[in-house]
Amino acid sequence: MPPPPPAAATTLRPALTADGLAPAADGRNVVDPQELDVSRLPPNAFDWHAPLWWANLLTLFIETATIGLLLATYFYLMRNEQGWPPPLTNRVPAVAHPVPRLAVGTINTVLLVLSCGLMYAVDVWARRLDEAKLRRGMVALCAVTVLSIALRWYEFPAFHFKWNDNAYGSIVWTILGMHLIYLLVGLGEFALMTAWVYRYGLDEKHALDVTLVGAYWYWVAGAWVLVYTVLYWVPRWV
Amino acid sequence: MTELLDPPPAATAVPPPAAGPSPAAHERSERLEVERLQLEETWRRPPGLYGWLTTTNHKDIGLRFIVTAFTFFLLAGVLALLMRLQLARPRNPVFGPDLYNQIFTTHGSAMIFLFAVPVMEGFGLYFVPLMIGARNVAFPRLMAFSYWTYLIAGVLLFTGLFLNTGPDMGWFSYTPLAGPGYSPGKRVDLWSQMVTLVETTSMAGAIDIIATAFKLRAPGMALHRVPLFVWAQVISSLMVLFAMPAVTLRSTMLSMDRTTNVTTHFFNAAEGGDHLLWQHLFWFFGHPDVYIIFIPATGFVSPVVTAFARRRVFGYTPMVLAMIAVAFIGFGVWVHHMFATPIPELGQGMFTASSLLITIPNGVQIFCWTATLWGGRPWLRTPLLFMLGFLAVFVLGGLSGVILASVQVDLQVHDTYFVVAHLHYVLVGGAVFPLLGAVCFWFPKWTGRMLSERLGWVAFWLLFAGFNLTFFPMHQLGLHGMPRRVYTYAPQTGWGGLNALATVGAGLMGVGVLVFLANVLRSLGSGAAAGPNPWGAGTLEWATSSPPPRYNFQRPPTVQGREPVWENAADAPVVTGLDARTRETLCTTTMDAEPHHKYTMAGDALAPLLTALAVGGIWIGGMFHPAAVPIGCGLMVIPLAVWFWTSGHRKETAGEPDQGGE
Repeated sequence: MPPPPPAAATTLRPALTADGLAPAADGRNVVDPQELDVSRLPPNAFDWHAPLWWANLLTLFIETATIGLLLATYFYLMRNEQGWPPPLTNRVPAVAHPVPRLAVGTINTVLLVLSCGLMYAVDVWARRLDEAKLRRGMVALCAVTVLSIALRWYEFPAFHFKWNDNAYGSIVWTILGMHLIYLLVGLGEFALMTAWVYRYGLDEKHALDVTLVGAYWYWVAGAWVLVYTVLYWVPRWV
Repeated sequence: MTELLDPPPAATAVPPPAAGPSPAAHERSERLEVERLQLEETWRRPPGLYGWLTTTNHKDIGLRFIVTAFTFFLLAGVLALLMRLQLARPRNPVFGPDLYNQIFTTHGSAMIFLFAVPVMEGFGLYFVPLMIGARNVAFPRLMAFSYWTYLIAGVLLFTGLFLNTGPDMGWFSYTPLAGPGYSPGKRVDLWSQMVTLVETTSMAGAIDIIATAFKLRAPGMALHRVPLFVWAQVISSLMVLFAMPAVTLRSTMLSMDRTTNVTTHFFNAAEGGDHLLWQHLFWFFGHPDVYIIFIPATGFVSPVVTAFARRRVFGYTPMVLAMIAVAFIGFGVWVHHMFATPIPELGQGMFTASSLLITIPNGVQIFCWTATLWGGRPWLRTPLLFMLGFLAVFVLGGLSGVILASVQVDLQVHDTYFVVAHLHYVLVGGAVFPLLGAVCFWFPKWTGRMLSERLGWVAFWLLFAGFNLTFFPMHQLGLHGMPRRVYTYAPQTGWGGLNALATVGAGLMGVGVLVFLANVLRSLGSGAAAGPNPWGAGTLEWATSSPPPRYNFQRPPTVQGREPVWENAADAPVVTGLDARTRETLCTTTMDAEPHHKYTMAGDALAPLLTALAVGGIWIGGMFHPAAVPIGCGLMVIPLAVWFWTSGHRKETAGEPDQGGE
């Protein structure tokens, strides 16, 4: 194993050093670097310029994959049953095609879609640092989310089956439950930010946080529209 | 600002200062020294245990990932030696079937979940910020949370094994064997909670690595100058985001199927569930996972080959495109693990085709490395030696992969030692050899000391010979029909000779690992001093001292070429004007890396550890009673709220009044 001398020492430029001063080629002199002064750049940025915006987006990638796989599982399990949903045989008379009841789920869908308008207004107020309006908007969003969670409570029984009755019940409850977790997470974020704004007021960093919860909320509503269509309407169409 | 980042014509270089210590130069060095002390203070880790538990420095956490993963590697390696001991001759009475099942399942699970994936993440967390000229990762606390969750998962698996509750159904845990009917007790639950925890880790780390690489690159490091290592980390992290949800989801489904009081029916065929659903969900994660392990490993090969060939890498753009292609095609091959199940013929054809297709981008990378070496002046030291070993072994593994992609052949050798041979050629060849080479390459950066070349060569040849001696005969054993996962075999089968040979090879590998370990331990204390750039390599981590200061660069560098240490002009600009009293760093634009705004990183905190403990408590408690999940989630709100509340203050490290309070 003959080790030739490192060619770098002669033909390639030597390393920069930790303080940013590069020794010149002869190794004795020190060349002063030019300076890129960034002290006047702003301390904050919105949207895709902010690292946190990317973290939020990437988290939504994960959740999109999760919802996608859950819906794929729903359709995969559909192949195992003669009818979808499977017949309800534990009552008299038996129900051959027990499709889910529409009322509560539809109300919740309308509520979630409309809440996006409020969320958008809060987003705009956050960017304008309009603290008074933002406070009221955030409290309203908390209320809307609580209402949506309460409605979800009544959605589970609308599907006639419990989670441990059969695979149909398992997947429906899991999808509804997963989306319930999204609502709970949204409520937690709204509540924490409302508390922060009431305690400390609104600064740019927290305005960014509000806009990111906005992106999350649009996703939660959009995912729900998809889930609602599949869970409530696909059994009527198949 | 950006005109500074183009390579300047020679005439614009600032004249060097006079030789004597002029007052101006003296004043300047004084100013730099003050700044340095201020940075030391800002980035200091509090002393003692508290500092150790709360650190959020990417070098602390990255090294912890690497050391922890190698510890699990050693433990799982001991399990492999025990398996080889048992199989050394027919009817060997060392272990009974029950213990043997636990040993091989824990070996596979630990190697994949606790070693291969986390160790790649550890390298990414350590080197991505250094290579792009950042001070830390974008979300230091998320990274700390990721580590603690990983540690809990690893301890859980091995605690189970030592308590005779090790999983015993094979590392892919097929139902119905893993279902409540055939595997009562806690063994499977322990496995599935371990998997959920460790993949939570991976997803958190992936988010951190991508956001760091997109937003914190040094000015001038436009996308076409991003090091291949960083590309590899970003691409595999993106795969993690789409593959890992499948694994957490199906582990959770399995747990729910198995838990008393819950008993869902996802995998219960009697109630409309489906066993093949498990296989689809498992391999939708499982096959991309191979590339989640392999792509970062190619990210080790490229810088080592470049540094030791002493030229820029051949085919930078095709290399990046090849990795992206592998990432996409990698999601379209999972069914080739299921050729022995009733898959429609059209599906078989499609998945055969995509499994063959994926060899093309992999081949492109192999040719690019070969061309880089061909066109350079290779300097053969241990890191390069390991990469050459990788090329040889991985190409062989790829060849048996092409063979297995054919449905007819696959049906013949399904679940035999041929598959065991193939997967070890791909994973040991494709991940462990580059990894050991990477340890040799970057050990000087971690510790400031060199590894011994002589011991490195001895370890390599022991490992290379031992590896081929162990796994090459397994191809033949598989063709002779020896099934995998049997604890013994009859003498009449005639498999004894090749098995004995494989056991000898495994022993050689074990000695090789010990030599490697001895080299590391010896060099920690008495290795030769390395200096900042012992290999004369070209990426930014070599532009700072070894080991790097806690803030990485006193004045963050800018980049004028793909290999900045080689290509930057002597007076290439450095970034100034960041507040040394806070953990402030520079955010640049995603495509062109132009300076955009300043960003203050979160400081050290206990919240990540507490959150990880809560998450661990939820999943471990959930094994025993479902109520643990809602209760645990409720409790977890507390550390999360503390986390949010304490990272709300912009100026948190220097004791300044926070801006939010006014």
